[in-house]
Amino acid sequence: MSPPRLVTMKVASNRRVGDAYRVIELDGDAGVVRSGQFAMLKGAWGVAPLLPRPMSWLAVEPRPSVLIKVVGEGTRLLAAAAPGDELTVLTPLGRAFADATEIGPATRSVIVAGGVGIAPLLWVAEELGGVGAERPLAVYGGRTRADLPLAERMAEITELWVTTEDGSAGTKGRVTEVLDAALDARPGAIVLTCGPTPMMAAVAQRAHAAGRRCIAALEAPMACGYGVCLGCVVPRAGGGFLYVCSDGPCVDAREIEWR
Amino acid sequence: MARPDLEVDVGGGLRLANPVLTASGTFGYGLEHDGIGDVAELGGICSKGLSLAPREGNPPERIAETAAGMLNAIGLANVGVDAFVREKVPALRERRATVIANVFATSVEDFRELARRLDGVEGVHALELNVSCPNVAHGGLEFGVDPKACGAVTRAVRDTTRLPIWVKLSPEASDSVAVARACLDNGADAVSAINTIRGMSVDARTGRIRLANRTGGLSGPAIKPIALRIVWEVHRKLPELPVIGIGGISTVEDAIEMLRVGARAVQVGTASFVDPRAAWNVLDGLRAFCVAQRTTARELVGTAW
Repeated sequence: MSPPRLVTMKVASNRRVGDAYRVIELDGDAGVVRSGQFAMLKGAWGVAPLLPRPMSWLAVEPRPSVLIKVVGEGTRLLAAAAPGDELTVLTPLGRAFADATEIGPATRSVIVAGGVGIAPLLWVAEELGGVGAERPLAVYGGRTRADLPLAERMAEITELWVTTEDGSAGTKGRVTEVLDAALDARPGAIVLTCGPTPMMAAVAQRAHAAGRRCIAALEAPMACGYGVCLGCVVPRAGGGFLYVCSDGPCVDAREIEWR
Repeated sequence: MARPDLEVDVGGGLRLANPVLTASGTFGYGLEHDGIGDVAELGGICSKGLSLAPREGNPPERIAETAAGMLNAIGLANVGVDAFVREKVPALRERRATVIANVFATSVEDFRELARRLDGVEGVHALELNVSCPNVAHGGLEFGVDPKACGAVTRAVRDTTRLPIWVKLSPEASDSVAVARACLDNGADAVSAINTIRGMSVDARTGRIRLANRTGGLSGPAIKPIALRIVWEVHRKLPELPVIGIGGISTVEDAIEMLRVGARAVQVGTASFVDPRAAWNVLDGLRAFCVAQRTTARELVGTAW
């Protein structure tokens, strides 16, 4: 892995996706990055909020880009960034999907995404397409149809199954409604997942019950992103903790003590 | 650029090439910055707090952001002093780092044992006693707020090692000068001030207390005025005692303010989370300032008026 660098990038574009999401494209070099890796982003807003925000890379070609969901002050400011605004970006960070499992021509996959968790999964689906792997089957869930940003793009590169809790798109319910059927439809497939922790816990449990490997792209609050604040722990199976920024974000789900 | 004189004497025979260090708990073991910066350039690095046995630390959530700062309750997760000596120190020596080993214990005896294991270790240049961690059930905080207890810890370590001893002061002592004096009287070579201040964070909507440990240590720009005040008080009353200033130092201006109130050196802490090169940037800025003002780091110390 190449060491992270703190670089200043200008916002090239900022477009709305769905009701509450933005895709921000940046001008600059994100380094040698693979799907699942992330960056720490901050604008020129001084000490409030103090800390940069961790964001999965959505892509680095043609431009480095991230998918933003507004959940607090930091993401609100990022979402409001205008073309020409400068962001400081620490990149690349963390372990990619490819560091946790092989991403090759023989990789058969079921992708399970929840909401903004689509970002690294859209990219890994593109990587899989790029190496000539079988078209992945993707299960993408949200609370409503408005919580499925970039679903159109996902449908272009995967066989896409959609679920919504209110039934406004696809199958009514959560991703677990259709997960067993998805696993049956792709015998032997590895499961790649990213989304809210309870969703990933349920996905890992079903995948393991079906005898499949599951790679989860984790999320946790973190101050630094590069292994020194020690804030971003998740419980490790068998005791102790994993650090999302340096042991992950992409880890074998069996390494996690899901709660 | 010209090379201004940035050398500082921090007591106990230890001269630092410059007064910019990194604070314990914000810079790992000094080996996480390969490719980011050369640790040999810094005045020194203070290790993650070391205990006799390795510690896993607290469950999540361990951190919470606050106005111009953050709370942490990491719980002193660390590899333990023996692994530090065996695995980290040799790598730090290769990088020619000036290493201050920050140590933490819950008893005088364990502080003494930590000092014994670090005494004479090539590549360790000083000890920093963490007598003021707010985040563990039987923490050092009770040592840090009581001059007598703090003096006893300092004495035990002094009797065990020839390494320079820094005692890291808690901002929660009612009389920081009294604690600092007890450290000085019992053989400390310097004090570092300040450690974090206990605080908490609650979600207004749900009522959830954000840190699993319930309370945590506040750091960042929010605490700088408190740090300046304590460093100033200690320096004014005990000018012979070197003080290392810590608390909210993010920029060269912050560092110069800290020198002016009496610190002989500073530690950059939380700012390293925001920018991994923060300490190097402060050093570059200080060098430029000293050139432009035709001054030295030493001449700035205690010039607030």
